[in-house]
Amino acid sequence: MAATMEDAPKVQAQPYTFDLGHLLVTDTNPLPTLTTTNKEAVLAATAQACAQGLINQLLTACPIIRSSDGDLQIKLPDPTFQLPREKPVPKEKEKSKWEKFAAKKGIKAKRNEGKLVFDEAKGDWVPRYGYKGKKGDGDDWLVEVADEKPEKQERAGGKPEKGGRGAPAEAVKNRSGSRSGTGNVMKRKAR
Amino acid sequence: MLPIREIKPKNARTKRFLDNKGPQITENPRTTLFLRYTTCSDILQLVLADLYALKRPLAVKFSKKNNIHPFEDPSSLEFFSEKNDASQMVFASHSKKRPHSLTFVRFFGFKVLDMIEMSVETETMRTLAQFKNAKAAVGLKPLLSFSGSAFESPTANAYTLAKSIFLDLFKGPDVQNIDVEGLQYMIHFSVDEDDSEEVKPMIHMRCYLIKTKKNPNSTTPRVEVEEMGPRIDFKMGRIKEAEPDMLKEATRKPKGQEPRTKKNVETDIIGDKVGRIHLGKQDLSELQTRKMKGLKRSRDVADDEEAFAGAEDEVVFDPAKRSKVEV
Repeated sequence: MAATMEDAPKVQAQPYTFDLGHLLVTDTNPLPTLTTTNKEAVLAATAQACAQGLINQLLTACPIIRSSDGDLQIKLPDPTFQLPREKPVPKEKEKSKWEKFAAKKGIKAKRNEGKLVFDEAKGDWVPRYGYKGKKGDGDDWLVEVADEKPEKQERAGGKPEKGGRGAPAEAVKNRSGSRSGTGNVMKRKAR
Repeated sequence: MLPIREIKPKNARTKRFLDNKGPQITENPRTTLFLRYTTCSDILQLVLADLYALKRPLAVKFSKKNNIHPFEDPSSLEFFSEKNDASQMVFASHSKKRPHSLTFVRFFGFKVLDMIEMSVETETMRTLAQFKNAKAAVGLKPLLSFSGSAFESPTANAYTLAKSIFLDLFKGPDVQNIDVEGLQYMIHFSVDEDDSEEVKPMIHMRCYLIKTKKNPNSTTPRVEVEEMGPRIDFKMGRIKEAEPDMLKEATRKPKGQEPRTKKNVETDIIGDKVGRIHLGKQDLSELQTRKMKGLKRSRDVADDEEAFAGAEDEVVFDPAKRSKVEV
């Protein structure tokens, strides 16, 4: 059964409201009283008016684009009628101890500085470290040996050796073990 | 019934599966489960099959009988929901007290959020197959329309709940673009006017194929509708509204999802996009005007400039300074 324009209700007291994201049209006009004889015709007429309104709205209010495979597509806006979610909003991941500390101190993640640095003496870009790097400055190829022999011979200009062995490593281990939820539980039990 | 035990993923495939099932910021479309009670009339079975046909492929239909009373004890339904990752359910039951009743259930986090029970009017029911015409393709997003004032009540009642549940049931997946060819059918819900106090108004569900004809007088086409079935009239039964706490949790929006407001871009009444651009202050002294002999700088530049500066001092009008004097 096809409904035509003639069946459509002529007077529209209230305009339709649309939610194009859901392809939804709401018609708040009261439905005419249905009798057994005219019921389907009236329903089809209201449905036809709704469909006409919705399609007109879709074609006028939404941008129509031609997709890569040549089909005409209507770009829909976001839906406005809020429906309940299916599952709860995912919980945010808890911040690690370091992230909390960094946030408190305002420490930002280190930016990638790049491999090359500008060497003003050479007037050129050189590697930050390594072969022909800026850091080493392998120009002082001749180094004088000190008179009295120290424990360990050091090159002048070289980096001083970091703290001795043994004790600090143990301290670090204790520190990480004391924090709850971190460190190797099995090792701690064994100690 | 015991809750399903928590699984810790042992391999990547299980992890992917569990991540897909778990809470997500942008959610998967709801899966609908179709179930039946131990007794279920022929008419109801036909209705269930037709609703399943409209809902495919986002639906699962079980044929075994289940001795479940959703309004008394929904725990079995919750188990089914979790097991099948289905957050919507249509439960068909037929009994002497509540004949031909369909219960639409919506879940939140595998717990019942809200329920609505409606009984199918047997005389007016027509199935999909009873209309001898071409049907819409499977899995298309339908147009939806709700007619009647009861659906738009300002206070939450059975009809606003019905609208929300029907919209959720039939809207299909949320999409950005829709093919013009994909606008094939419309599901139309209409509600009678509330005349008498005793009888609650009925909801009529009709599905129509949409035929568009070229309209010679306008740019938009002329739309015609042709019924394709199913045709169902629902009488309102019991409802279970959502608990306020649960509803609040279910309507919460994830943070950081709202789009950034575009500054300086507006759409005017006609529908044209208008942008505002801020430029720096223009230096008019550098302005290149038409070159004329008369405007050329004379040789005694110094004198000229002095005269000009003096003139400027006199002409300048500073509203800020003047207001200071008045105070």
